[in-house]
Amino acid sequence: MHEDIANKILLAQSGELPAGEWNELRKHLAGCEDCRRYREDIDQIAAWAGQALPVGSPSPAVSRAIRMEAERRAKPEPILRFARSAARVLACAAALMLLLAGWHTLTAGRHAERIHEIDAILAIADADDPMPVPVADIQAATGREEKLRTLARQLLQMEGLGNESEPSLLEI
Amino acid sequence: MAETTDKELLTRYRRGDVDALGVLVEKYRRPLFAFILNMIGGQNEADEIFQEVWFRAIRSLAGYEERNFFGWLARIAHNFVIDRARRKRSDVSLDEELADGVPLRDAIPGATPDPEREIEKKDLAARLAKAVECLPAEQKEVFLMRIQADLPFKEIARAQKVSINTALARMQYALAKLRPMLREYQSA
Repeated sequence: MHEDIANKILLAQSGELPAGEWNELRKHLAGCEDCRRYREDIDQIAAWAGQALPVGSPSPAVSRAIRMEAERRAKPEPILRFARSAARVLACAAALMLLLAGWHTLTAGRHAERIHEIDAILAIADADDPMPVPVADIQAATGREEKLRTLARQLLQMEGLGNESEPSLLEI
Repeated sequence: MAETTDKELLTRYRRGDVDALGVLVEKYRRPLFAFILNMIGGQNEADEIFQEVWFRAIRSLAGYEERNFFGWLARIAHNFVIDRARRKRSDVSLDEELADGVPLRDAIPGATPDPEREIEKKDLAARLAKAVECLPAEQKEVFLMRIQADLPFKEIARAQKVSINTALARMQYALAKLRPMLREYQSA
């Protein structure tokens, strides 16, 4: 039996023999009975070893342990990762909205109080006017009062309260 | 449908798909466990090593860039088997004696002076299994990696950290010890 050919036979069986050496091997085997028999013996031994050697199987507990380790070390799925990111963004947005809503509620209350205060001052001013006013002046005073009211509304409008249908400060 | 490659399965696992790793475990369960079992010899120890091999592989997957996944697993298994053998100091030498004082070399059926009697007592498969068990560790490993795990010699040499010619030589030695049994069986 030729040792170099024996190696080639083994490499041919494992699929590692370079393509260029197949012809040389075939030619040799065609003319060498010892090497042919060697190749047949290896095939036989491999076939019998497959039947004779224990194969076994890992116990179910081992398979479970491997699965648990794989789960423990695995990164979350992309969709899950996206969902977690989206949840974080939504939570931040919700918190921001709550803050804005709270601020708005607080300032809206303050503006309402200021409207009442201005109305009260104007009412007192009307009631406590000691001087008799001529008719021509009454009209002018009403105009001034109206302008004052409009100015107050415009100021409130600029702070985010008030009605847009009111005349603009510049039109007065 | 084309079979999903190891690389694709590993990519899926790296993205969090645990089932993809399960496919790989199942794919290589039989050859890997059979190799470990035949190298070690006991179900419990084989279980332990099989589990350790996969634990090590899972932990190391981040840096894994090999082309042959099973070859990589076999190398991890080889290291565990060698480590276990060292700890147990159970390296088998053919010059060691069995409990009854018979040198192990003579206990290999192919080397017995009376092969006909052996053939009569046991069938070839059982004797072959025993003979493989008694091979020197390096030869047994090459034989099992090649025949049972279907690893190419290139990967076997890599696992054993030897040249491919050394791996081939070890296989030749192993086959030289097993062939006489086959001859005797065929001539019986």
